[in-house]
Amino acid sequence: MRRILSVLALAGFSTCLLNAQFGLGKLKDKLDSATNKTKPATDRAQRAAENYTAWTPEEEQAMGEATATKMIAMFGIITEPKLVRYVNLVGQSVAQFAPRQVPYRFGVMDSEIVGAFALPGGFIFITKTALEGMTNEAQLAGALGHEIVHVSDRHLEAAIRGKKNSAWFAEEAKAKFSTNLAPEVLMKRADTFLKEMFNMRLSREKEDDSDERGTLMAAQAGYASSGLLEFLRTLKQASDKPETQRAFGQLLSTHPTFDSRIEHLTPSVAKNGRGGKTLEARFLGAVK
Amino acid sequence: MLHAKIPVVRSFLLGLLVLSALLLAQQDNTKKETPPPEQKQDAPVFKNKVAVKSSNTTKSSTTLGFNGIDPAGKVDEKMLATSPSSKDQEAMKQMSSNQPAAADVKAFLKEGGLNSK
Repeated sequence: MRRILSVLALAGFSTCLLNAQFGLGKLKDKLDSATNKTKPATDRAQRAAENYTAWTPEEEQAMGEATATKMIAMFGIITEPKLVRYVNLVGQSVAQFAPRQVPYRFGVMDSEIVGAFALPGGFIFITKTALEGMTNEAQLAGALGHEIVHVSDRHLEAAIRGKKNSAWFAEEAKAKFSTNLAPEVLMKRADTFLKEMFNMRLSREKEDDSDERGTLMAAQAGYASSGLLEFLRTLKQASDKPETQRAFGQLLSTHPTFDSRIEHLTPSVAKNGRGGKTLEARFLGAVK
Repeated sequence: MLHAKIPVVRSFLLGLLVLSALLLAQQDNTKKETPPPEQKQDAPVFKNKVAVKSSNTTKSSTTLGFNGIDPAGKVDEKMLATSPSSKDQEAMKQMSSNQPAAADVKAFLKEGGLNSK
C-alpha cells in the first residue's frame, strides 16, 4: 500500500514539475515574442533586405503593373490630362538623373491622405492632397525625386522580398514569382506586396538617403534644392493639427518623423547652396 | 360592472403599447442620423484645391468614406480587399503610356530654364 502511495505521490510531483517547466517554457516564449515585437521594425527590415535576388526587368514590370492596377482600384486615379501631363514632365525632368533607368511613370491618386508611393517598375503615385500642400514646382520635383530613389535602389522590393516569416515569403515558398504566373495568382501576389508595403517601415537611413539624393537629383535638373525641405516643413505644420491626423497616419506610420527628416536634410540643402528654379507660376497654372 | 370595463382597459393598454413602440422607433432613427464622432474631426488638410475635372474614384472606396482610411490614418482592411475591374486595368495601361516623348521633356526643360543630362 505504501509503495502504491509513494508511486502515486512521485507521479503527482513529476506532473507538477513538468507542468511548471512547460508553463515557464510558454512564458519564456511569450517574453521572447514580446521582445522581438518591440525591436524596431527598421532593424527587421534592414536584416531582411540582405537576402533576395533582384527581379529581372520583366518580372519587375509585371509586379509594377499588377500593384499599380490594385492601387488604382483602391484609391482611384485622376485623369485630368493637363495635370497628368504636367506631373509626368516634372517627374521625367528629375528621373533623367536617376542612377537606374526604368520607364518612370507618374500618377495622381485621388485620395484624401497625404503621401506618395513608389512601386516596382517605375510606377510612382502622389496623392491629390499632397499636391494641394505644395506651392511650387521645386517642391513637387523634390517629392518625386524621393520616390524615384526608392524605385531606382529597389528599396521596397528588397525589404519585402527579403523579409522572412512574412505572407510574401510564404507565397514565394509555394511558387516562385515569375511572369508566367496566372493573372489571378499575379494579382494575389500584388495584394500581398501592397499589404506588406502599407505596414512596412523602411530604415531611417534609406528614407534619409532618399530625401537627400532626391533633393540632389532635383537640383541637378536645375530646381531649387530647398523644394523638398520646404514641403516637409509644410507637412510638419499641417500634421500638428489634431483634425488632420487621419490624413497623415499612413505616412507617419511608415516614415521617420517630419522633425527628424527636416533635421537630416537641412545641412545638405545648405551645402547645395541657394539658387535654382522654383517655377511657382508654372506649377500654379497646371495644378491649382 | 367590472366586466364592462375590461374592453376599455384592454384598448387603453394596446394604445399605450403602440405609442411606446413608436417612441422607441423614433429614438432609434435619431441615433442613426447622428454622424459618427470621428467624421467631425476630419478637416481639409490644405486650403488649396487641385483642379480636378475628372477622376476614376471606385465605388467601393467612395462608400468607405475618407477613401478607405481608418481613423488612425491606416489603409482599411476592406480597402485592401478591393478587386480591380477592367476599368482599373485600362487606367493602369493609360498611366503606363503617360511617359512624355523625349522632345516634349526637352521643350519643358527649356521653357523652365532647367537642365538636360
